[in-house]
Amino acid sequence: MKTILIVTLIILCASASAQFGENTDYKLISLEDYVDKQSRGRLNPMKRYLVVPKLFNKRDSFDNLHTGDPETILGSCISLIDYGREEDVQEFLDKEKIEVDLANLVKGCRYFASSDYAKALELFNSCSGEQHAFLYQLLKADCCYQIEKANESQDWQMVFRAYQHAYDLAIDSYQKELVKNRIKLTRYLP
Amino acid sequence: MRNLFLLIIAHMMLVLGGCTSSGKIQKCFTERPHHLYYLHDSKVVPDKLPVNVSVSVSDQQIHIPEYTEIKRTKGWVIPLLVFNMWKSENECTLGSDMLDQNLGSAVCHSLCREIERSGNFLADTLREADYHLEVQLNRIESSGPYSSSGFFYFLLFFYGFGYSDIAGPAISDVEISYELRKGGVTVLENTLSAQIITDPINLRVSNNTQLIRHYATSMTECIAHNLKQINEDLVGELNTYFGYNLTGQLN
Repeated sequence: MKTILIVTLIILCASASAQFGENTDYKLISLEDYVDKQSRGRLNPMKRYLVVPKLFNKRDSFDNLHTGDPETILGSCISLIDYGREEDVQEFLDKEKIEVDLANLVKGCRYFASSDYAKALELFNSCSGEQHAFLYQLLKADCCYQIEKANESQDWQMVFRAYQHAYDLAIDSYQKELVKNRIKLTRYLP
Repeated sequence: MRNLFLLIIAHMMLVLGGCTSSGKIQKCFTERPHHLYYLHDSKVVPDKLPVNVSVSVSDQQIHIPEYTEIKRTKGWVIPLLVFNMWKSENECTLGSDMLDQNLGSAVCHSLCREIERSGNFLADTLREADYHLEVQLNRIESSGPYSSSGFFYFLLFFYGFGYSDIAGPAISDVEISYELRKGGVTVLENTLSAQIITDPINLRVSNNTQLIRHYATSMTECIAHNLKQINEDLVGELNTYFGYNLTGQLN
């Protein structure tokens, strides 16, 4: 009985601290939920939100992988990564022929979810399409921030430039607010 | 008698411990330096006129305290045995020890970035440029209140407590003067200033350390926003000057 209780507590604690896959520094959230929370003032200003256009439950994620719509595929893959089904995502990427940019973005997110920022940055750097430009630029800036945070020399100007680039690509107020909050946290956390 | 004395001591410690001390605020303010970086959102001007301007920023005569100062302006405690209340008010003044970079180079860097972005001319760090822009930082100030209050009561086996910390509103003020020279002759000069008043922060946080840090960050943020405003105004004035003098058109 005692063991069951301890195991349950550990599982509960682990799921409470994990925010995107194994990454506890970022909180994964769909655009709809983000906008809803923002309008109700329920966003935590001390959290780094990773906002993606769509997120699905596990079953729908598998079903939506073959829809052909890049936004739905991205949402499905990121949801599966979050559920710890990276191998299924890799299998999908190996079998299906999807845009190189989208594939690199998904692969980058896989590394991002396991906090391997150097490898994630490498993949985000190879993205050049316009469709998810803001998302991968923000992720690139986040990778730069995490790498510099762990680095002794800490070139914050480089990090700020990367966030500025993301800010220049922002097309609406929520994206601008997202970058502004990153700057606030970068100014506050180091 | 001895037990009563211990109870009173424990009581006093509890009541005094509930207050946020000025030492704690000072520690949270200065525990890590803050950046003055801000996000540029001015309109990008891709076509530049063929004119170079070298930029130098001096912070020799600036008015900013060297050290961050937290001064207790008001504080009282009602240490009754069954009911206790406390309130303290502090005035927080930001000092240069809270800022990460050398002020002159931080302002010069942000101004050059602004010129690169929205200027209709080119910024040059070389002294052989056509024009020389000399910026003097006059004043960088940021200060505001931090108040803490609470209560605690108990009656045999019943007790209750409540506390609240409110940070702000802080006032941040920045003023600069500039001179644009051509061949040693001043062709344009002005003094620019900007002021921002923050909203009071009353976050629901588990401990007030987070609130104080947030307050310190918002004060630095205000300075950065004031610098942004001033840099944009300055570049706008120079754009008008060069636009009119070099092309004969007002931008």
